[in-house]
Amino acid sequence: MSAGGERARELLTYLAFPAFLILLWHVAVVSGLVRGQTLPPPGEVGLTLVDLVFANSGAAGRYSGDWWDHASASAARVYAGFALAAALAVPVGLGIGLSRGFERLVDPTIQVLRNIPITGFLPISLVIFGFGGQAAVYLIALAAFFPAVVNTTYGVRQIPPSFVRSARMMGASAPQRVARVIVPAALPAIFTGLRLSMGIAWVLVVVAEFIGVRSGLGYLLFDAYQFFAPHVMLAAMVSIGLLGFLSDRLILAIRARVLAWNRLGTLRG
Amino acid sequence: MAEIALRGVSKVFGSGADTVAALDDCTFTVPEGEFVTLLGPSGCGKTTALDLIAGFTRPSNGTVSVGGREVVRPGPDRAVVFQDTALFPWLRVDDNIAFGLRVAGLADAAVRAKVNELLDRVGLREFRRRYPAELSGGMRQRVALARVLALESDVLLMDEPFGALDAQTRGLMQEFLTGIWERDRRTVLFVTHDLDEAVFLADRVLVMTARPGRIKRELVVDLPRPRAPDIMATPRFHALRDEIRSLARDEAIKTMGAQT
Repeated sequence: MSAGGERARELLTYLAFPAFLILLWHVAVVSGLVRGQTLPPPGEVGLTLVDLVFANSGAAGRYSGDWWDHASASAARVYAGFALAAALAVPVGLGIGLSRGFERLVDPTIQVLRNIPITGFLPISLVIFGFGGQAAVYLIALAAFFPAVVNTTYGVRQIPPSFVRSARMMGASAPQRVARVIVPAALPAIFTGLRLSMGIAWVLVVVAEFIGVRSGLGYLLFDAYQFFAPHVMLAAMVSIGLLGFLSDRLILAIRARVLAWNRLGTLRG
Repeated sequence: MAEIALRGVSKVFGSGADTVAALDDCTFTVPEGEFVTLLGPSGCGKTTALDLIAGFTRPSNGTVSVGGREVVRPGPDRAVVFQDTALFPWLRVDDNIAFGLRVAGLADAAVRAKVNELLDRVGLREFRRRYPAELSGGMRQRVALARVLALESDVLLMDEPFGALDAQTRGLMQEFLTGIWERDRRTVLFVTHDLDEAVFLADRVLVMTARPGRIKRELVVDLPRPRAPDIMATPRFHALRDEIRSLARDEAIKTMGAQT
């Protein structure tokens, strides 16, 4: 088979399962299995989404064309919170992995805080940071911090001792060992943590935008709920899913560039 | 001066009831410029002795010195070749070889010249841009050797570097190492549990006892150099190997007895 044919078949395999789910949804609605008033069919949601983005058919009603403002507001909060989390979590994770003393100092606190559902922090963060989006960013940062810090710590701990020994043997100083051995060796695990963090950031932005802000896909979702527009709610949900997916692909693309050696390693066993 | 000397060295691991004595009152010397193999049953403390000389661990008792100076930490004056190579998988072959030179702050042009010379010496010039995962086991050990040759240390410590290779490659690597060593005659301590390897490579073989390890016998290998594999067919080689075999066999039996 030609390379193009191979590629087309691959794409088809990717699309088969979502297509099946959409079909199932469509059949459930038109057969009357689910009341059409409650759950709109996928075609209607699709048209709504297109109208949300391009304001072309009026299917999204009063929300027609609002997509860009909401999507960019959510994306800005997600990326700000994610960047804040990554900038803190990676050094802290390295510190915990490298130093028993630092681990004793901060790890128990992290492990306790990690178990409080982040949504539980929403009311208190509104009290502290007030209404208007700041609370959402800090909440996302808090949620995204934990997967990144835990995976970075794990990444440092799984480094074979012989790597550090050979670096010391070749005369590398402590800062050189961190920069040239510890960080590169932990990088695959750090990327795993960042992917999980990005995922949780998109989950949190929706919750955080339910209250206290008047922009973002979470706000759109909740507003559509209050005005009983399930087709808009579903279009907002699909948007969040797709944007989260694209963010993950972005991290994977960066990973593929930075970790060429690691991809080779996994492919060849 | 790069003589390696252990004086009454003991090493105990663990604490309380779980202590294990890996070495007990172990004393030996590796004279400067000699290739010495350290032979013993598995778990006898060979690697422990090597780690002490490398400076990765400190002795519980006794002194470890190299060139008359006590060993307190690892350093580029005592190069180590690890059994698992410990090459950095994120660096290509040439960057792995350059690691020690770069952390020492050598200028880029000098690093490049030195790396090229070493690549030629270990016959890996065309593989310079490969990652370690893309090389065979024998090639990886050649990179590991080039990486420590770059340090130009007087002392070379090798921990069963060919233990994971197949018999064919192993024989070729022994020949290759002999050739490299016979050129500049550094002080080498080479840990192994392979009798033929121990005799073929060495000027002197140290046979260790079962754990806790100490030196049971020291034998001078008076085979001529330069050495080629056909020396393994000579009566003198057989005589030496058989003598060492009977010594090593007693210790291996003790190790097995201790385990059952």
